[in-house]
Amino acid sequence: MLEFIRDLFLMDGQGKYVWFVLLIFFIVICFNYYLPYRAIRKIKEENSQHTGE
Amino acid sequence: MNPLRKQRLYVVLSIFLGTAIAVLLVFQGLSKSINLFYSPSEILKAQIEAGTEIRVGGMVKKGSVYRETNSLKLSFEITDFEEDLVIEYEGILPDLFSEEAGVVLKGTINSKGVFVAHEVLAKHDENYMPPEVAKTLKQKK
Amino acid sequence: MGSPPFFFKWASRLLPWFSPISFSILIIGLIWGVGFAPSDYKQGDVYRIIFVHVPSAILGQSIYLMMAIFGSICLIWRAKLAGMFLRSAAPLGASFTLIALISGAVWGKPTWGTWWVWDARLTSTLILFFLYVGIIGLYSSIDNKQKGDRAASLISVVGVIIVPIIKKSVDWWQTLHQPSTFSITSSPSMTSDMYFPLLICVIGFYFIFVSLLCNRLRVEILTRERNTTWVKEYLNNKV
Repeated sequence: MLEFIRDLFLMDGQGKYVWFVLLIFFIVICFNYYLPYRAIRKIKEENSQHTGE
Repeated sequence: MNPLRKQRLYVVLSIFLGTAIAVLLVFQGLSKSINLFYSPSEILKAQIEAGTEIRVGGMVKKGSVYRETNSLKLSFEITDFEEDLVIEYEGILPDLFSEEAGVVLKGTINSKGVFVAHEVLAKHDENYMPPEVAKTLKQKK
Repeated sequence: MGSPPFFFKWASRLLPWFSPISFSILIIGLIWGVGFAPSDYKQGDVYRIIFVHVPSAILGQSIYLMMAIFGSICLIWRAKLAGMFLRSAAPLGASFTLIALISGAVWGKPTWGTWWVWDARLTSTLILFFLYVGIIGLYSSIDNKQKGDRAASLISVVGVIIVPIIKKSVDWWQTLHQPSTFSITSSPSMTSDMYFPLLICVIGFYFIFVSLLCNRLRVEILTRERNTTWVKEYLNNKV
């Protein structure tokens, strides 16, 4: 099992390219998930302030 | 469809067709210069001046790769199955460089008609397969 | 379907289911491709970048195609939701195209020997990315929503010619980039134990796009319809 994980990580020296691409991919996807989430929260906050006054 | 929308539809269609035709015409005109590289026969036909930097591409001929023993210098021939071109290069080769595989080279032609490359790029084909499959395919050949 | 409140209601109801499903498909495809698919006889393991590169390139192009279709709808029928689609989809198209460009460069370094060449495929993909950036820029510089929608629609209709050019560039011109491995019309030039995970990744990417898009559309609808009674009711009940 450990052997398998190590091979998967190193990939004969090519692992750095593959994992770098995956990292970039997940950063971009998570960013795109987070932005609308933040925007909706902001809209709701503004609304509650508005009605609170 | 009401007349206003119909009119807008025609406008959108003509905008699309107009740009499509214009762009395709431009590309038709530029077609040659969009190519990344020339083939060996194009280069031999065109009589390119010695010293002009160009890109040439083709397949590395089987059995033509000759490496010098104590330096990074090597020579090989590339072919487009019509003409061959002798290449000289000194430096590190990409992993995918091998005989009977595509390469794209950047460099100049010298007075002896030898192409002196200073950049070697390996071209990859669209075929992907596991090593075992490649082995059996080779045996079948 | 075309009415924003109706769409908003359904998107909000379906997303909690749809997003996890999309993520699962994507993760299954990637784990299969990166961890378990066989390595390539020539490239070894670095070919595994294909499981990110090809789906994101496909998405980058098909999102632009969708934007051209919705752009035409926006110009001809003045449908509200079509304009919102353009605005929400453009950043996603840009993201996927950017991922395709970066992953391609990272793959190109060890296999070709270079990060970048100005060949027809790479250059036309870069133009696609700039088209997306242009549309995003238009929206942020035009305050009037309707005018912004129309300008963006126009650019998507005018620019859509880049999509067949990208697709055909490897056949029309001499390029460093290889012809397509993955296509709907012809049989794939890879074995099935590589092709299936790739197929799952492509499907997963489409699902992820739809869920990301619906998330963005919800925000867009809420902001644009801020002063309508249904949005006020929604916000006051839900907070």
